[in-house]
Amino acid sequence: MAGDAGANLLYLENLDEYVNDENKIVTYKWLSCTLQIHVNLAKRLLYLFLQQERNEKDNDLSVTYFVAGQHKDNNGNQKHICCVVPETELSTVKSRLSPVTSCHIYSVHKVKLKDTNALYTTDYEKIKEDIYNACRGITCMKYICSKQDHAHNYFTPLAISCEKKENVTAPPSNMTNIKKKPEPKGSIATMFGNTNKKTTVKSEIEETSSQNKTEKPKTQEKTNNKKDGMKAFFKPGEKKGDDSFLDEKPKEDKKSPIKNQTQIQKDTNKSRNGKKKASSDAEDNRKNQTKRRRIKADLFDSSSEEEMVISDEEELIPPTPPREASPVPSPRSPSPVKQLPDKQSPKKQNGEKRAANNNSGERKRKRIKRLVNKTYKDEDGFMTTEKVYETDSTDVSDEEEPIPSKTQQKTPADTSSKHEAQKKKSPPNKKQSPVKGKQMSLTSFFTKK
Amino acid sequence: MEAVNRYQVSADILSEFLEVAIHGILYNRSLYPHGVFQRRKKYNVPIQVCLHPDVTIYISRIVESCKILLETGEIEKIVIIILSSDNFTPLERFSFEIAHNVSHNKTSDEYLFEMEASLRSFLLKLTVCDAMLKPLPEDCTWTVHIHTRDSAVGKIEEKQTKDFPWIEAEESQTVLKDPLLVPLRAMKSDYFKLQLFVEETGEKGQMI
Repeated sequence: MAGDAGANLLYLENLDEYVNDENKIVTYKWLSCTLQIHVNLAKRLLYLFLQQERNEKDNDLSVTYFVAGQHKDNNGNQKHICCVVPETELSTVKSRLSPVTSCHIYSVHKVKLKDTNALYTTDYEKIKEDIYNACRGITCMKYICSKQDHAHNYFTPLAISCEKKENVTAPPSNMTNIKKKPEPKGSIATMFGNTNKKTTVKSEIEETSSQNKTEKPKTQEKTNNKKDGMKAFFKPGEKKGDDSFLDEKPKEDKKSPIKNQTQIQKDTNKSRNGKKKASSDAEDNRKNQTKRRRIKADLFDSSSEEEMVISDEEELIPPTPPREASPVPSPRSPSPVKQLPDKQSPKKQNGEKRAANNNSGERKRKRIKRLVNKTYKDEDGFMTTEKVYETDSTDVSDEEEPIPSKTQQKTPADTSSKHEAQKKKSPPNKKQSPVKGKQMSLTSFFTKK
Repeated sequence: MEAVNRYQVSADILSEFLEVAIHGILYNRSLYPHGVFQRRKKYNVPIQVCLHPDVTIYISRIVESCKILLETGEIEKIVIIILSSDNFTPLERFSFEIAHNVSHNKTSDEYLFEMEASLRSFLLKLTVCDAMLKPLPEDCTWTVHIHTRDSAVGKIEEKQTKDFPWIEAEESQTVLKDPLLVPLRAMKSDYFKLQLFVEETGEKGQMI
């Protein structure tokens, strides 16, 4: 309150300067625009100023009032009248209005105005001075709140994920491992780890709900609310996990093909998770082995690996019936983005993929991170395009080119000499696709950590 | 060619503004009853314009003849003088000092929006100046003086119409007793510089 009073005093000093020294016409709108204050405060200040001038300084200022109210004309028609009147006519105008809905000071000035032209000119001039900031004093609280929320969500996704972890009981060790990965890294790493986060968060929530802790629903709500800002980046993938695929698909088909692709990428992730549960321990061990191999291969021979992945996709695509039906571009098109648009439910896909893998006998998984342009509509209604790293994991069958198979053979238990050999091999591959090679080497760097 | 165009443009703008300003002064200083004025729109804001035919014709002729001189850049100052009714002594002088902008550095005001805003603020100041001046006695009259260069005399004689000649001002109307200066507004544009100030006599209070 003391602060308000101090601010008001300063404002009153300003007002004194405007009215008495600069001989300006001060309307409440003008004052609001000039001092960047709310119009109601401006009205109040004008009232206080007038009281002060008349009581303490005995300064005769002219005032105009804004009066509004209901008025019945001679024909008995009810009208709502709003008018600006000089002080002398205030009482007569008020008496004509049966319920006076509004009455406040409109302007204060030294000059005795002969008409209201000057009032309009004053406001008009002020607004024209800086048309974009003219009405900053008149603000919608809802708009401000939404803006703040947006800013908050945009900058604090990491912090939120940390909070979740603190509140929730200790999850299984595998999950904690997965969680720990993204935290220390920078923003790019967090994007990579996002898909992992999704799965962990879901599992955490399930666990906690089973334990019936009171805090959990709150945390869940928090995450839902606070993630709104980042939803724009990663939401499509998350939503799919929560809702049925059939419901979501038609919506997303309408969107850009890039989005479709990201969706499918995430679907494949999920399918991978599902498979994990089903597979035996022996299989898991095998996976671990393959993982190790993969990581090493990523490090030293990324370009060749990407080629391999693409070729595998090409091989996998034909047997799945929906892909044949969908308007897929030629499988040999260079960009992987175009290869994947798909309307089929991922469950079917997974089943078919599994079948394909079973036929081949050995199962391998490749995780690919791609830089994808994502276009979305943000909260302000602007179309925004951002480059986002998307994680994609694909099943890789045995039907592969000799190059990757060589790397796999070398990797299992190994020393620097073999890595050197791989390094030597990598240059010719890079020549074939230099751009992809660069990208993969960067992403593989992060995956290794 | 460039100079001629600049004078032409500034003459057009200034003559328009002068007409509006004269009407405004007449209204604000209550030289005519408010009933003969009507609200019109100029520079996107409402202004008061006198409807009395004799007054409007008189003003428009003044403006026309001023425009001829403005086109050649002969006018230095245009003064609207309010005279007392009894002995025609000047009580107030509204002076519009005009200088042509010699520099050819063009600003970004290509569509004259800033100039329009400046002229609007001149009009607003004319409205507000009422508070800074003492009230006028009743039945005042008014006249317009122009301050020109010496070379302008010949041109005025050439171009002026027979029914509306400019004559040399009486010295009694040009000198203010105990003058008091109230600066109102100044502006600078690509085409001209304009300054507005009011001088009022200190003896006004005694006359009321």
